[in-house]
Amino acid sequence: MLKDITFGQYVEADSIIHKLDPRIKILLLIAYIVFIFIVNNLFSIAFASVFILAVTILSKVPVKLFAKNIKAILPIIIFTAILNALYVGQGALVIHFWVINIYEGGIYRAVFMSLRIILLIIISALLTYTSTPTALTDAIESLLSPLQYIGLKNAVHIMALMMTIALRFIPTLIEETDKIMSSQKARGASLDSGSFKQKVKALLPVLIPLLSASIRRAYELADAMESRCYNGGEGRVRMKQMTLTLKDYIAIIVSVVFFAALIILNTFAV
Amino acid sequence: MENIIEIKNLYFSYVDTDNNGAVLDNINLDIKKGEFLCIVGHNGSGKSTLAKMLNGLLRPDKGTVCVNGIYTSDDKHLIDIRKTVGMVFQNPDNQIIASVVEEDVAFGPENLGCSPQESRRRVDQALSAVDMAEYKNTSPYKLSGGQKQRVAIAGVLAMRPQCIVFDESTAMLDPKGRKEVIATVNKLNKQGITVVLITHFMEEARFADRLCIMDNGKILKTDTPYNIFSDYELIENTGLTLPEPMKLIKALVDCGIKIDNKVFDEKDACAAIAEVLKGGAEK
Amino acid sequence: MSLLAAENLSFSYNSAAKIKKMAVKDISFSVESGEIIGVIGHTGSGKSTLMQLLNGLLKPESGAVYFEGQNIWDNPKEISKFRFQIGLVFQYPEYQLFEETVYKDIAFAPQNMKLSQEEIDNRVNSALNSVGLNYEFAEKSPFDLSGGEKRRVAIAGILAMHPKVLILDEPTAGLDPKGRATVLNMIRDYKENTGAAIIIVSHSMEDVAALCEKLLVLSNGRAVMFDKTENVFSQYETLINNGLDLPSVAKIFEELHKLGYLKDKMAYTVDDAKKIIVDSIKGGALNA
Repeated sequence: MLKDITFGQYVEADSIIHKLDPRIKILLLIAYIVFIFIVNNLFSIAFASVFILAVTILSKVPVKLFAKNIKAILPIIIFTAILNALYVGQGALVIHFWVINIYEGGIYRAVFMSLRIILLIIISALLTYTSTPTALTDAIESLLSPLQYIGLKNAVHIMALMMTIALRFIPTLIEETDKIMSSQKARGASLDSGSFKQKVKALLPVLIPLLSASIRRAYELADAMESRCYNGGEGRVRMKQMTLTLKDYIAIIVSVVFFAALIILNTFAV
Repeated sequence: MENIIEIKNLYFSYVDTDNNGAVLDNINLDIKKGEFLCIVGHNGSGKSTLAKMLNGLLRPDKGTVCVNGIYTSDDKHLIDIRKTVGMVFQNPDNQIIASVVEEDVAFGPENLGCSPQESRRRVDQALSAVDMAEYKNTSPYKLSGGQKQRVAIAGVLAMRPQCIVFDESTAMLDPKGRKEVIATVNKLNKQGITVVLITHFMEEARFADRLCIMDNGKILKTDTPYNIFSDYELIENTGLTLPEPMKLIKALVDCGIKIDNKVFDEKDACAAIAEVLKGGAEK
Repeated sequence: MSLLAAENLSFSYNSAAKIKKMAVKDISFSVESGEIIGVIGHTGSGKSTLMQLLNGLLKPESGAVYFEGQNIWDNPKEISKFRFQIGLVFQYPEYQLFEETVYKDIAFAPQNMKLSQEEIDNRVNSALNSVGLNYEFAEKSPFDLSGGEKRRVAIAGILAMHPKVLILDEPTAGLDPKGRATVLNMIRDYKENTGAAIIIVSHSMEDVAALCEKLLVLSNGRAVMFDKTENVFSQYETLINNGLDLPSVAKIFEELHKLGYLKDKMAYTVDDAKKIIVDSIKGGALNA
């Protein structure tokens, strides 16, 4: 059923990762992605894995949730691993079977690539698991705010407001869709059978009321916003100002040390 | 008493509707500072259109609406008017903007350019004024209809308005939610906020200082709730109904029974009926 | 054999949405032709869930719904046949209108029933008639109507199925007094003219007192009472404990009882109350 769709993946928990400034989390995520792409030997990526595993445990998000994410793209991981194993022809021959030759270098490369993908998934999931959609929206608005100096003055504000309203109305609209579908089914509508064309036609009794209801909502919301002195982004001051705390600085320092260690390992490890 | 809103010779019609008749037809009304004014009328009587005139969401075709000396036709001072006259609407789902209660309440102060500290103060005060402080970090989606409306009221209160217009704010609520909202409305009025309550539930009108009956875009009568309630003909002709206790008393009067008709609720009705029964028994 | 019977119906939502929608636990009751049954209960008591179970929009986890003795889920492929027999009007049904004209919208269900064009014509006309709208409305766009008219067109869309059981979830919500009276009269007329059974969910104790012969009281997904209206209202405390109330007139009588008047009398509607009071005044005068 439609109602089972949950929006955002936020997992409530009391951890230091949850409490970090979402802006810092987004910037650090980007940095981690870059560094994971830079390193090119197994030893470094193994070190990164241990470090990120520690961060994951620190976040208090159940490990099985990350496992679920990895499982979802397991086919891609396996495909990449096989491809790498087959194409890299360095080192000693390990497996020889029919036309397939797998060398030591290939296995090494396959493990390396798999780990790289898994790490990317884990750190991205870490951001969405530990930050509410609202926090992410605010962070994106704040990070994009320099754009206002290059002539995009209102664009950032409008985009952020659109995201806020979208987040707010997604559950309402899901509920509404569900209700309209039920009412049309009560009138004998069959919403899930027939050819593609029939299906599209069968959706009209749901889409038209949904659209008309949304337009009505939009008008009413506009009245409500104007009544509360909304006048565009000009002069608006957010109540929740994001400020960096000691935790954020610690996170930055720890990360920088980690990046440095990673680079050193990557350069000197054989 | 000083007037907060003055409406003079107001005419208005929606351009794009089929009915040629004016939606508002020569409305004259003064709303006094601190009063509790109730406007009743059936759906389509023009009461919601009138509500939107009070804070400049709509402007008169002819005539004027003046809030604290500022005309709503004055574009430069619209924000001042909306800061003074807040508005709570009918559908609780369509007036909440943010996904977190306190962020929604902050929307008004943020628009007014309040400092973060000031916004925070106003949000906390507004939420406790409507008894919703404990829900400040909740998602509005999880609240009941009555609670959502109270959040909407808090959102208006955070602008520190002098007057709040409730445009059928109880119409979509269950009896419990309706009671919660009406209790909040009464409380705010006692604290000095001018209240304009628009409704078709006559029982909500009883606490008002004055009651206007609207029909066909006109104000038919403005008087105390008691005087309006006892004008049975007027109420029937405008498609409204009396609250049940009054209906009973009216039915008894129609049967030729002499009974005190100064009745609002069940307790009053009981006292009046008991009086008659006592008289009957003594005869 | 009852027209519609629920036996030990249970259903629960196994998703995050359950905060909003209540489960139904072990509910049994039955409805006969020509009966009007009121379903009362606080918000979140499981009323809407129960209504959707009754017409086969939801499938019970355990228990069953019997229509004319047949379990409606015996053959899941035939479920829509039962949905036509057990018409369900949702809360704020005007939001389901989607066609270009009122005619087409009311014809939606009859078309899904695969009726002949002639039969569809007849049904649309009689449905319009039942909701008190004349034929001029047929060619209007439903989106151009007033709120009360939209509501009536939406109800007509269900009446056109000629359901033997008509279920309405708060059919008067949001309407003004005149609109409420119109809709309630329509429902009463439909019952009189067709002998259908009516199940009506309402928050208004006054409405159910005036309309219903029997009441089903729900609380936290369970059926607390299922009995004649006056028997349900005589259990004042049970009602209060479940977040409900008495009709206004009954409250006046409760107060009068406390003062020692009309001790053996009770009324739930203004008409009944008037008769009792007038009789007792005249009786009192006679005795004197």
